[in-house]
Amino acid sequence: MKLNQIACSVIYLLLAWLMASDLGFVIVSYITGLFVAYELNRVIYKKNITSSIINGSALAGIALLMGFVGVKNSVAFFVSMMLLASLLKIYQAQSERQTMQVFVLNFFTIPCLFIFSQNFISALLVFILIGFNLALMLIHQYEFSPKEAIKNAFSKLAFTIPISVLLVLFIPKLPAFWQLPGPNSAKTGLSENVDPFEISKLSESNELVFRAIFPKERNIEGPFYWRALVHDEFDGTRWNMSSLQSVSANYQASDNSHSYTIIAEPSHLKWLYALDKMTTEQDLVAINVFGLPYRKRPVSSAFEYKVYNVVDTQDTSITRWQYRQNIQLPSDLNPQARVLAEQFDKQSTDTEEFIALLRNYLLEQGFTYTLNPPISQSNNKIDEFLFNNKAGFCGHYASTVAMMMRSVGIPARLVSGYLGGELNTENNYYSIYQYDAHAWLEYYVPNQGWLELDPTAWVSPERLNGSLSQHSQLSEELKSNIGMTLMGLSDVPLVNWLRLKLEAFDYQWTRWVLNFDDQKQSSFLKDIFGEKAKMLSGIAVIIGLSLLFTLVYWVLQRNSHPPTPLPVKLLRKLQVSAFGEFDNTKTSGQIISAIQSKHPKLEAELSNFLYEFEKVRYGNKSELAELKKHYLALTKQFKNNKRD
Amino acid sequence: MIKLPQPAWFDALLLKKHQGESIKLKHDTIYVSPSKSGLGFLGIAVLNFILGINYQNNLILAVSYLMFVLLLMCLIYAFSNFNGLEIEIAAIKDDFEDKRPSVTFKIENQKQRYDIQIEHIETKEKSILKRIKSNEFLDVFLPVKRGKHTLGRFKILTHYPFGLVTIWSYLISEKHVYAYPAQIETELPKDSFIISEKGEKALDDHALAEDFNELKTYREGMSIHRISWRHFAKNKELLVKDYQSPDKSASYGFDFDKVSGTKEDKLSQLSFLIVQAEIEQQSYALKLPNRLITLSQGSSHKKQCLEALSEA
Repeated sequence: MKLNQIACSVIYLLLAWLMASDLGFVIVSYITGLFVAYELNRVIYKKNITSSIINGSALAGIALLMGFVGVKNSVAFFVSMMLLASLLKIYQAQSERQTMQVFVLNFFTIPCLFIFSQNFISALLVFILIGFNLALMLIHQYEFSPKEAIKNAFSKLAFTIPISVLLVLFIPKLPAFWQLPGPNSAKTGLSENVDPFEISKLSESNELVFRAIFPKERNIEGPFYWRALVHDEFDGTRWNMSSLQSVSANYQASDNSHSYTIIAEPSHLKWLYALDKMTTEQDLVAINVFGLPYRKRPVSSAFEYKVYNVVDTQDTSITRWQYRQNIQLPSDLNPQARVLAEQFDKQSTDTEEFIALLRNYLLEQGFTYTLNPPISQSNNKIDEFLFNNKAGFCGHYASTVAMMMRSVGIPARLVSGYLGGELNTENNYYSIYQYDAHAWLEYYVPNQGWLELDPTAWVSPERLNGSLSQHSQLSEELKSNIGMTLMGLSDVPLVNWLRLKLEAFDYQWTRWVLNFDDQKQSSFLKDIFGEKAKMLSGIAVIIGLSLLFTLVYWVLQRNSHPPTPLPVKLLRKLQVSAFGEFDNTKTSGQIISAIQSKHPKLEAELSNFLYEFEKVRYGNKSELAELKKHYLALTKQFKNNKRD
Repeated sequence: MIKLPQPAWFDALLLKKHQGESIKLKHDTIYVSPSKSGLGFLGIAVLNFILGINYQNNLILAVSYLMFVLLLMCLIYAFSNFNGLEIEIAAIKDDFEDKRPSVTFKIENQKQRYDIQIEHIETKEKSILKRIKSNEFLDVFLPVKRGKHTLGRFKILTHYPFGLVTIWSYLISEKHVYAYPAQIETELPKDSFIISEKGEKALDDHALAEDFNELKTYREGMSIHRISWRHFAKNKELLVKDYQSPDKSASYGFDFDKVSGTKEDKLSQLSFLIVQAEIEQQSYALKLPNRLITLSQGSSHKKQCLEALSEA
């Protein structure tokens, strides 16, 4: 098997695995198949891979990709098809030209990883793979040894990386020409429709969802309820997303300074996160009637938006249809819960008292919080939870309380989002992970509006502070669900330290590399160039590049003429001081004897110089000092001679 | 590479700069451009740029800029790989058409360089030195037809590094190369023996003609002069007279009109006869329709005769 084929297969394999694992599976099985076919063919028939194998593999590969990736996921499908095509081409390539075409195409294939993942590791990997691709080009064309090729390619690449970083900084950014489909990246995340009783195992993902950066001067205290989705349709077990969720609305910012900044990681959902009703100036973000932000269009990379608090224009009354919507409840389910709710309703005079009774009941009955609740087979799942299981996670509590409130005519709705976050004290930001997902509820009180209520906090008050990973009792449960990752191993101090360092690095990376957008660039360029920043920056780029390339050219040219060694320089100088000119046709011996005949007095000294000269020139470099001494003595005597 | 129509002044300029037996490659005699792969590379850089802009993805954008910079760097690296080389036509080796004449270039060089190619533009024949460190010789074989050829244009080029750029120069030589007629094995025509020293007289001499050794069946390509018409009249059988191998001391006169076949065949046979005579260290004369080379021997005589054949 040839080096080209092995190397390219490894490159495509890595890319496929990193882009998406099911995509990776297809390519992996594929490459294995090809290897086997190729080897068999070579061993049995002693000839190269035939076009029928290639064509058959292509058809099978397309079928596999259709099955595993699907045409709907257009970006992933396209990229995986390209990987497949490149792979087959490298096996089929007969001529040097065809192989070169694949290598050139790799400059498109490899960076495609950035559509799917943009963390530092991916960036490092892409640049390393590009370096290897360049090395392959050298090996392929000029018969370099692998070691030599890698050294050569990476030295050239290392030089271009800083320049291209500067170009990204200084070349003014253009707006997007047109919209491209985004990849359907993360499969984890909030559900648009919540059915807590269907879930037996929660919090499996330690994927980062977003980061929230609070300005240093603002001291905002938790607990942080990051709202994302409002569910106001209840069918007895499932809470469906509100039909108003993607209806946009306009809000007025209450003051000019933002209260915090969110960096949202790419997600397959369009819903974003905010603590309260908000507005923002970011073009990519729209606000819905609940005051919640959402993406206007899919964005494949992380992006940032500043959150401004809004003047709360919310009417403290609700319309009749809103009221109906929020107390609507299937009448035949969960009879026991209804009875209990009615009992509390009778005992209380207002909503606050009703809630207090409920809270007492949950605490007295010894309800517990768990990430692995028992699965219920009953139709009346809330009854079963309230009276039998008495253990569950946020969804169970929120769903139960909201249902009971609705049954006695208090408008209530479920809200899902994230709770808490891990504080990075150094940079004053919170990281919110997928396992911080949370559900709570909002209920309506006339003349007060919608109020927040988190019944989970009654049974597990610790959950309110910090992230789930910092929760003393639940962190064990969480870690066992996450498995062998850095998070799962965070008990080991060194691992935890490393995890936090990596996290902080990733934060800076996201903030300054991935989110270096038009706005940031403009302010950055204005700091340097003042007004007319864009034009001046363009000119600076052109001048800078020209200077740089001139410098590179000069350095390369200088290297092509090896410098004259010092002893030879000294000899030439002697010649010049003796005869006034230097003649490169003579050997060192001839020169010295010529000087000797001109200055017979210095004969001995000159012979010594020649002796030292030859010693230094053809062997012992360490005696250079001795030679210099002789040279200085000679030049002094030349001067004396002239004076005489 | 796209062939652009070259205006006359451009040709004149090219000749002025590049004509001669040697050339030192420096800034005013070196030309640069992206290669075919390089154009593809450029296209992909543009594609990455569009992708980076549309996805607002700084990393893809960085790759795109990296590719542009890399291409520019390649131009500089390739130029430096080329600059300062001295290419000289060291020897021109005339040879038989089928053995391909060649030109030997001397490449004067003091540093490590890669992928130095010399291409004969007319015949597209190319020779490559994958890497050189010091002075080096490079043969370029010319698959030319029989004849006398002006060497014309050689293109000296390199794609190093990565094959994304082409850097080239020309060497235009007015020198000639001979492609001798390919040798076709043949029998010595019966009239080829010469007694007298004077070639032209002797060619008419038929005195030795009858002194043949045996009769052979006629095969195509044999001289019809050697057919024994006496036997043909008797037996209706075409036989040719095979002559005894001549004495060492004998001299030959090869006559264009006395070998059979087309013009090229005749020249090829004469080419063979001359080489054989030279191997046997016999002296020989050559008579062509428009030229006569008198009796002599030795390598310069052979060269003269073969050149005459090439030019015929």
